[in-house]
Amino acid sequence: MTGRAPDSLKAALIAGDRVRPLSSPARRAIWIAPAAAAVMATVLAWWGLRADHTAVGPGRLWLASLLQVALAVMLARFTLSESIPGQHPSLRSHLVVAIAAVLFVVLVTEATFAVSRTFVPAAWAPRFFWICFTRPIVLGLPVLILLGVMLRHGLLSRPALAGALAGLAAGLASDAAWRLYCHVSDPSHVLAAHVGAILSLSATGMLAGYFLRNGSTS
Amino acid sequence: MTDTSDAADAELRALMGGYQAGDVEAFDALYSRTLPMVRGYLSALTVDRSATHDLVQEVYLQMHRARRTYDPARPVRPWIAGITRHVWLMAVRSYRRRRSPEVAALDESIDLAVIPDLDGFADRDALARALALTPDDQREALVLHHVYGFTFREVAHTAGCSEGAARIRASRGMAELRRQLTGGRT
Repeated sequence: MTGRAPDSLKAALIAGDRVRPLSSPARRAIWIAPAAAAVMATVLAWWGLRADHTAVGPGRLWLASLLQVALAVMLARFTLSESIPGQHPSLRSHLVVAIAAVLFVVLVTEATFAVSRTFVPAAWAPRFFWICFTRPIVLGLPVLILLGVMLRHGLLSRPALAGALAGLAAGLASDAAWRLYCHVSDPSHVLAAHVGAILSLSATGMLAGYFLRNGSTS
Repeated sequence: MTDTSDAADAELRALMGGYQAGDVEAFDALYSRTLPMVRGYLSALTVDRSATHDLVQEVYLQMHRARRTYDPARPVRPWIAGITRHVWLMAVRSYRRRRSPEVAALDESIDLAVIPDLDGFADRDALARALALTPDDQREALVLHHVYGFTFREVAHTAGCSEGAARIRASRGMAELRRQLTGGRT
């Protein structure tokens, strides 16, 4: 092989095809914030603010949701790094961030439950579960799609992993909005329905990454 | 990094900038400067000379498709190494190939003589055979760090592992290489 590129290879490359470098993963991940804000606005406009918002207080309500969105942005940044060659975070750091994200939701649940104990009547539990499981998934799908589009601009060596992280970020963002409406603070409800929705979005992202990898730019 | 490698990296960045701007001549120059590393790294990953030759062109095609993902603020070689690794992974997934030591024959483009710890050890063929027998992840870290001068951070970001893991892999790879060359006498 000579030092010059083979003609067959050069023929495959289009002359004069200028491209603009992608922004850094950190900068692109910021786009999750307005998407999460849009989901919040949708929840508040459509369903309204949770009935016990005064008991919960602004710190446990608004600040906790904002921190959760910040965590989603951080996860998105890790996710987008997966699509940049030579910038792959380690599996351990992915795992640490993912566990921290789920633990944060659990912590917020406990903190909310401490100041406003609301339970679901047993007869209504399945219905409440269904609502709080499916709606955050639906609300998180646009965020997941947004992240998926951004990921497709890159090169994914571990598409299932990237998809799972993208789903987790989307789940965090949608749950940050949904908890502004859902007034049930019973940990068993939150962990089953809300965290279940987050994990389901993560599984959806993982499956999408796995099955779509052949159609990506890779 | 040394002044020499800094200068080389600055040159590669300038070429990459030209390539992103649509300059085919810049691609040509980039190709000639990075080909030895791409071939060497692929050879270290696949240990199969015929596979290496097949995959080199695919690396540059993927590089073209993914050229937007190069950040001009970062060094070029880890980015190319990342694409090379991606192509290798795709090939492994596509063909479900597994490395078999009996076909091991490292590409001549890996300059093993640059590994300082191995001065005076055996001949080049013996070194290549010993390197082919080291575990895949250790060989990858060893070649990127010791042959191509990647920092452990760059090795980690290429292989998707932690910096500590990259350091350990390279160190164990070197120990394994030495063990292979001395026949277990250390």
